[in-house]
Amino acid sequence: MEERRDIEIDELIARCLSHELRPGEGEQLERWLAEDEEHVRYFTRCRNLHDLYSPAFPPEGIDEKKAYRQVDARVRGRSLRRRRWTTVAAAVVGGLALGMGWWLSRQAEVTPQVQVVQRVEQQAVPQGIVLELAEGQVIALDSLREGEGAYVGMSALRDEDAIAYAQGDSVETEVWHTWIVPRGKTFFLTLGDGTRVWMNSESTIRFPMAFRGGERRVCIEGEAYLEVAHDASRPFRVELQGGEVTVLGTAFNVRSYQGEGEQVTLVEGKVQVLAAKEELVLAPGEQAAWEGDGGMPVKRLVNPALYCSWYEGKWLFENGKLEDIMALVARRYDLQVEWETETLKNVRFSGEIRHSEQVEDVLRLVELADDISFEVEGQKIRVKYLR
Amino acid sequence: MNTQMTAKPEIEPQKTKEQEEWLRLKEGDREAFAAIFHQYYKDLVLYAGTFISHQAEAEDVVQDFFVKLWTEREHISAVKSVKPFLLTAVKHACLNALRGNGIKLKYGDVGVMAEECVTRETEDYILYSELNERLQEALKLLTPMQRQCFEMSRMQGVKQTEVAQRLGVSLRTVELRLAEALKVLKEELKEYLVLVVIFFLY
Repeated sequence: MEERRDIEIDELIARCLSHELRPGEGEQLERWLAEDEEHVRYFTRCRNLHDLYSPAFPPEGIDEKKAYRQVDARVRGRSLRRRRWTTVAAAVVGGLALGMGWWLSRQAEVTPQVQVVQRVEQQAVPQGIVLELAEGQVIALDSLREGEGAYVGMSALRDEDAIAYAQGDSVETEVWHTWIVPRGKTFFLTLGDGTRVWMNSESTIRFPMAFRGGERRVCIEGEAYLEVAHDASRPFRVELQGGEVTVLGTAFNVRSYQGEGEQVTLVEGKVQVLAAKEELVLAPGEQAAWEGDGGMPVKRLVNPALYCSWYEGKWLFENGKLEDIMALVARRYDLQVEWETETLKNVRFSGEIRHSEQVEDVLRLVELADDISFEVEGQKIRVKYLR
Repeated sequence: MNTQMTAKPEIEPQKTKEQEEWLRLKEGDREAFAAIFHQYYKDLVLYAGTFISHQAEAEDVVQDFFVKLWTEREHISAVKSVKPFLLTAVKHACLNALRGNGIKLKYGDVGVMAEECVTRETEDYILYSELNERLQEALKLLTPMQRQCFEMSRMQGVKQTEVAQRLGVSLRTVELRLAEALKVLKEELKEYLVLVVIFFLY
């Protein structure tokens, strides 16, 4: 079956696959391929092996668990279905390999651009996620081994950057856990009742290991996206710094960073927001927003994807201010932003950015969409006009 | 359409399990969906990487595909084998994505693939995990010294003189063990990977 191959042909194929063909060899190879279907098959097999031997990117770098969570989130949250905006832009495409969805266009100006992102080697700064126990004991997530259950008196399973608490009421007393997610990190939790929580950077969640009694109560500072397990008999309450959300079973985003006001965005179901003694009931697509402690909540209609897509690993902007965009970037990658001039803060962008490992990937997009440049030095980003 | 099948004589027990999973997926079983996802995600992303050389984009395409697979699960047909179906679908998704953006095909210069070969290509395609599994199995047959020499020199790209230094043996010994290792591997992987020789073992 396997006829003996010409070494010459093998070498030719090898050179073709590593893009090192010499003049005239391309035609030679094509003639050989045209001779016999078996030749094509042989070539295909070679290419297959070559692809496996030198993949476009390292296989270890593919995080399938994270990918599954993102896909699962999309599959469940139907209203959050990804919208590609590529068609919106009158794209000016360079003759280069470029990314779908990896573009930003400046809204105010005339020429939106699609551009290339090149991977620059610089890792997002690792900072630890920690668990704080009621007694004040602090345990680093990294010190918990993957797949390990039943540590520190609880039954939970670690799975890379995620923890799943066991369902059921195995715990006798009410033990509270506090997870602290620093700048530069995100985290995923499954609570004892099956509720799923995506924690954004610089955020904290406090909850009992097992919910007992007539309600389920958690406290959140910072930002989180929740998919609450349905349980009509035990309402789910989220305490924010300046308000409270009551839920029966739904998906929504809360944002409550110190000094940045409070926001509750509903994706599915129904929630009740309580702030400054004012009660608001939200329907899907509605958002309640208010100023920190004591502000009156106001209801408005929004595109939830703009507020919630972070948990799917990307940001969406619709005419977003650069100042706000940079605040997100700074928090996600644990950086400080410096502005050359104040006017830069008001430049506006629309588009989608995936959270890449490298902050440079994100910044390049913004740079290429406009005459803005970034200088990253250690933990600082300086935003300047390109000259 | 291509009717030729590269049927292998033995019945793989995996296959029936896979077909069952596929049917359960059709019926809306999330666990079956998760199982298929976990089994194929990495391989499909690497396959997509042969068309789209940016990882995030490749992952995007494969993730979009899985979302579509779920939302349109009722309309998917029963398949003899899941792998070629997934590969073909991902390939089409990649090509569409590329068309939409004007990205260059990695092998655009060798436009010789007939429509017929495309199907066959996906049927015959060896996945990264399959190759890896076979290689790991074959590596078990080597002696520790043969294996160390092979792994260092072929998989980690360490120079033979350095391998000798690190292992505290002569260069000649490294050469010999390596040659032995290659002989075993060629023999072991022969029927499965006709051409491993060029890239892996050469």
